[in-house]
Amino acid sequence: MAIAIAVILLVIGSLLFHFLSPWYFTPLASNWDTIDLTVDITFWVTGVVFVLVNLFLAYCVIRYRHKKGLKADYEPENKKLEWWLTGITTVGVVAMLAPGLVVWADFVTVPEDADEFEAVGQQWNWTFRFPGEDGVLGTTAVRFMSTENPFGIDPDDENGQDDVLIFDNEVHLPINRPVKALLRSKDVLHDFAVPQFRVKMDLVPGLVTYQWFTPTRTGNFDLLCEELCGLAHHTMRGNVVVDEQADFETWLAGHPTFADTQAEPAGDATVGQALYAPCAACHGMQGEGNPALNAPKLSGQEDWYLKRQLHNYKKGRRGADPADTNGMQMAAMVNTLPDTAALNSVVAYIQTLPDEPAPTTITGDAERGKDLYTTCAACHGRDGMGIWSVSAPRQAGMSDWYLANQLRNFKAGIRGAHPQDGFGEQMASMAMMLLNDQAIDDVVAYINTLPVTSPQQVANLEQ
Amino acid sequence: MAHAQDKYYIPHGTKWPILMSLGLFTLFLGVSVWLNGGNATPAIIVGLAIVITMMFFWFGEVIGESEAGTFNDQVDTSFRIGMMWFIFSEVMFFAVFFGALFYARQLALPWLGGEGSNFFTNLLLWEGFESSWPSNGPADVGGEFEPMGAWGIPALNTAILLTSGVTITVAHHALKEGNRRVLGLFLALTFLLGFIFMGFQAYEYIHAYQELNLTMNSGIYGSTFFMLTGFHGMHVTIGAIMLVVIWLRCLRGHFTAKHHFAFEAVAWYWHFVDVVWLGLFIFVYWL
Amino acid sequence: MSATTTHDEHHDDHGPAKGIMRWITTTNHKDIGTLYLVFALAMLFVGGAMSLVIRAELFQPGLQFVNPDFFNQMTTMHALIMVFGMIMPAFVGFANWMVPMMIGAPDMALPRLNNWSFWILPFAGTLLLSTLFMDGGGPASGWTLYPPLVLQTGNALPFAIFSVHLLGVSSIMGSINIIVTIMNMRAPGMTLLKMPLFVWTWLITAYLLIAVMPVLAGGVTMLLTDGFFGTSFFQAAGGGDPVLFQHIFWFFGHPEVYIIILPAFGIISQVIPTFSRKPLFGHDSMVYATASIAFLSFIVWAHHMFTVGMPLAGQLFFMLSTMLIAIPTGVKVFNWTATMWRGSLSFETPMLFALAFLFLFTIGGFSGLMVAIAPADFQYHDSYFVVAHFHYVLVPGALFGAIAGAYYWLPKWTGHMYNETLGKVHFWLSAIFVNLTFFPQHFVGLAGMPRRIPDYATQFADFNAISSVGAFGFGFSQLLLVYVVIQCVRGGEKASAQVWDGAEGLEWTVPSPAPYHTFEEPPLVR
Repeated sequence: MAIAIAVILLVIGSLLFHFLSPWYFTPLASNWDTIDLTVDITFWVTGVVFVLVNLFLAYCVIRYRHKKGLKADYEPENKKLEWWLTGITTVGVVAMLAPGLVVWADFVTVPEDADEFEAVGQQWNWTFRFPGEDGVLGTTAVRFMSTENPFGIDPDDENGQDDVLIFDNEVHLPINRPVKALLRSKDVLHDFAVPQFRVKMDLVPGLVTYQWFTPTRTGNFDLLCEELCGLAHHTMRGNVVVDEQADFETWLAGHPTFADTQAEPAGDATVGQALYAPCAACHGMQGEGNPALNAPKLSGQEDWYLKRQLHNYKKGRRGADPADTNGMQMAAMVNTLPDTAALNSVVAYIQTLPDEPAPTTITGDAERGKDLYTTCAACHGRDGMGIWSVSAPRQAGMSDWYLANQLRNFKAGIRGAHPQDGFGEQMASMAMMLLNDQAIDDVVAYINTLPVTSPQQVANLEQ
Repeated sequence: MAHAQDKYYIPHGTKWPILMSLGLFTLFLGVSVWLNGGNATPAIIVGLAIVITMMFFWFGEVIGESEAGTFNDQVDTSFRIGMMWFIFSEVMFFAVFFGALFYARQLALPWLGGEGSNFFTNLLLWEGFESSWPSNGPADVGGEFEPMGAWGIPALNTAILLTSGVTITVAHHALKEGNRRVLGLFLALTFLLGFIFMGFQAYEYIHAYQELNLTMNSGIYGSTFFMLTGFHGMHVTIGAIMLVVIWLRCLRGHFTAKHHFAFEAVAWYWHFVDVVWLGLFIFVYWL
Repeated sequence: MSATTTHDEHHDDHGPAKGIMRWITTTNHKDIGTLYLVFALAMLFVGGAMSLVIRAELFQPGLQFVNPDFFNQMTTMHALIMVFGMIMPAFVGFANWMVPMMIGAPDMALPRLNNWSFWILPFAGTLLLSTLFMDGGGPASGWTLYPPLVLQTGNALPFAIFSVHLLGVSSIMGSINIIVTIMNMRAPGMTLLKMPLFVWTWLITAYLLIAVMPVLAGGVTMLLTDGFFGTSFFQAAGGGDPVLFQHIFWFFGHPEVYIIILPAFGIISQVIPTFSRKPLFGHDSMVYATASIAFLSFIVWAHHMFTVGMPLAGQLFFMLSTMLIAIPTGVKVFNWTATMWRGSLSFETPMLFALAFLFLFTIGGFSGLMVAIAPADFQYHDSYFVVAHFHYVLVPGALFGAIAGAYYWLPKWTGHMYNETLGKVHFWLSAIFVNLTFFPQHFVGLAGMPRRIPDYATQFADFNAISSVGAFGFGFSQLLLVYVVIQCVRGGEKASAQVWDGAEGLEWTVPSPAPYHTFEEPPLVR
């Protein structure tokens, strides 16, 4: 009896839940209302059958309970009934399938006038590329990939010169324009999914997959990777911002073309030396850092990381939080570098400074730190020398007190909280793994034990 | 009341299986450590030795029981059905590699060349690549190589294996007719042909590596070529060893015209290896 | 079906050997069945502990207990252990115990091989579990082992792959044995269509296993050579395709789903008629339905891969064939309910689990229909909805089927009745907690929470917390099962030969506990 009541309650409960609960799809923001309709139809068909079958089950349980002397009917077969039930099932299946086929035909037929853009996934972040004025994307190859050309665009390809490159994990799209997203992966499988758009497609390394949709609502939507892509899979998030056409164009114009990035002035170390003077006041003549002034060691840090952080300070992505007093100081100081050329030059100069391991100031349980560091090693390398391809800077031989401070900042949401600081966001999420200050000290203590390899060896490792 | 011959024989107590598992465990452990760059030669040797010893004793015990007349017809049928489904599982094992070959030739390579919905795959990633076969892929993995031609050694090998299929059938008929001399002779011929085949295959591999620059690294062609021929070669080796075993048993006077399951099992296996080779010859070497 | 037994107690009373050697050297189908079942029960707790690590981490957003890599190792190992170490061995255990008794055979057809099939398992399990203690940890790429990610695995890769090989050997040998037993060892008069449905479902399952385990073995072998010998099967640069592995994996993986569920169907088809005191409605159509499901399972695999950018024709084909499976599955559900119609129902623990199976499996089945439609699947794919879907099929489906079978046959195995009250408590706890665990996952999935993530957006927190509570409740409820089983083995009310008044079939004609050797003389089935 209890089971019959339970079954009935569950059926009624599920129905009530379905109708009363606010918990359903996120509100639609694209043209794919037909997908929602398909889903609704499957809900209805399966829902009706579910209710009928289970109420019948409950009825049998109540009506045909075993009593002394109650004999069961002998009815091993009833061909007619069986055929009827099979027939009805078939009709239900067809009812669910038919709309699915229609929607499917739409889904795979990309409209002629769809704008193309490329989403590039790698462990564990997104970058994007728009075709630029000519409307054609340039060809790419693995052999062209470098710190100066992370997209691997063929420098000799005319079509690629005007491609607009978005180095953020945030992409903007114009409203009410069909877009075709070309998907490319640099390493493992990823998946481009925006729940509000009802789209989802894998990125398969070595192939270019695609999907299309028309955003119908302005707003900021999460871009998720929904295919396990390794350790930091859960941090591989981005944003798709749907703008009015004019806003979109302004946004796009604010990003460099491939030609711009290639023409970017190379850093000149001699120019950089003069520009470095104000830096030296805190970071030291040799870039060795000064704990008393909260200035970390710079020498030996990789150029692409220094450049990115300087840009972050300049654009207010870092050092904007009032709780980050040192960061705010740095954000003010960075204005001594008027443009990208100056920035590149000072970084070029820092690269020439001698790289002596920073003195250690933090003690902790290095054994325990070693266990914790296995996670860090996935990006920063087992040797702690950083890995460019996953955008992780060097840690070994750098200022340990600074490292500990930054970990605390990441955890506290002081750093990595800016929506455009994708890598920072990632690190903020990963830093959560270090539950307390002791854990931070332990992992830093372990990093202190890592032998520092010479720049020459580092260069070899990177290749 | 039934007498022993009518009863289904159920052996009691056996220690071979667990030792066999132990051997396989040691072997795989060793190979894994070796693949990870460690030194595990002792584990591999010990593991292999246990596996081989156990097979010797396990089969030895079954052969003893068989010769003692322990197995009735029903047991014989069980062995037969078992062997058939074992061979079926082997067929499925080879089917995967053939599947991979067809997939690469009919789907993966054309897609990389821009067919179907993969216009952008070709344009953005592999510009200028045209699908063809043999291929080591758009990135020319492993460098220039020459594919293995069909009409030299492979054709000869086909003839050898087909002939061996005939000789084992002759041996089978001789067994059924009680002609032990012909049986021994043709069985010996069969495994000799098997060994010759393997010799040619070994020569072909050396030729491929040294002169054709055709290696396992040669893209999808090298991968499928060595995977398919390699596993086939392994099966020929096992089959030839089994042939030697039943030949020795024949010399000892085992098998009767009516009861010779082991002989038939090996013969089926040999034919299976034969058929797989025909598939290889057609799809890997020829077409 | 009725049968006469001519079982003689006195002749060949060759009992079991003494001590540990009994279990190591045994060739007796009942001993080996017990070994399989005990192994499966142990693995239920090993795999279950892993799932509790996962649920503990997901109780709140953020990273609290484990690092992300270990979390991924847990999701991977939980699946591998539960699929290969728990549910498959459990059903092979049932097959070993029951198939010979149900068809009137003295034992399995190939007893030594039977011993080997089991004794591979602990070694394969050790190989797999040992990776957790290695440098770089266990495999963390999901149980589907998709390249290229899986090739980033540390030292664990070859160990995991060889372990899969060994598990495959065990399954293939076990299946060959079951097929041979059923084809060759049936008692006179036991025609194929007279066989109980459990035997039928296992016959078909065994065919599936033999057909697909070698495919998996081949697939992981290619992973091994890609990883260590420089082949290019799954690398586009060399002309291969990472998606090829997915095709191979799911060509194995989809039939594997039915390998797991068909024996449960078989058990339910035994339990429901017994407690309805009425023969199974539409026995023959059940057999045909099982066979059609098995056949269809070979041609639906790519519905696991709707989002890899397959060609249009492929998507269409797989969408259609998948929907077709609903028809034979529907036949089964209808036949079970029709069996109860006008029956005389009583609700002992096995029947309760069978009813829960019926109710909850339909939920899993319906969510299966939803994900089968390609455009709709774009919402569900790799989200928690899928996690909810397949857990509904596997836990209240396959696992409840196994538990129902355990309660159903325990008196036959041990000769004692289990504690009915505790059994019912176990049922209610399991049924409540299993829903608490998996039902909320549908909603977080619909809202877009991806699977295989240790940290998630805060809006998913409530439902994840509920799910975690359910998981711990479900996990600890299973300790009750262990207690009931141990109690039942050690003693209790004596069970009669027939045990349940509605039970029919050869296994109920022998005494309880079933003697060490049964049916040395084949019974006559009329």
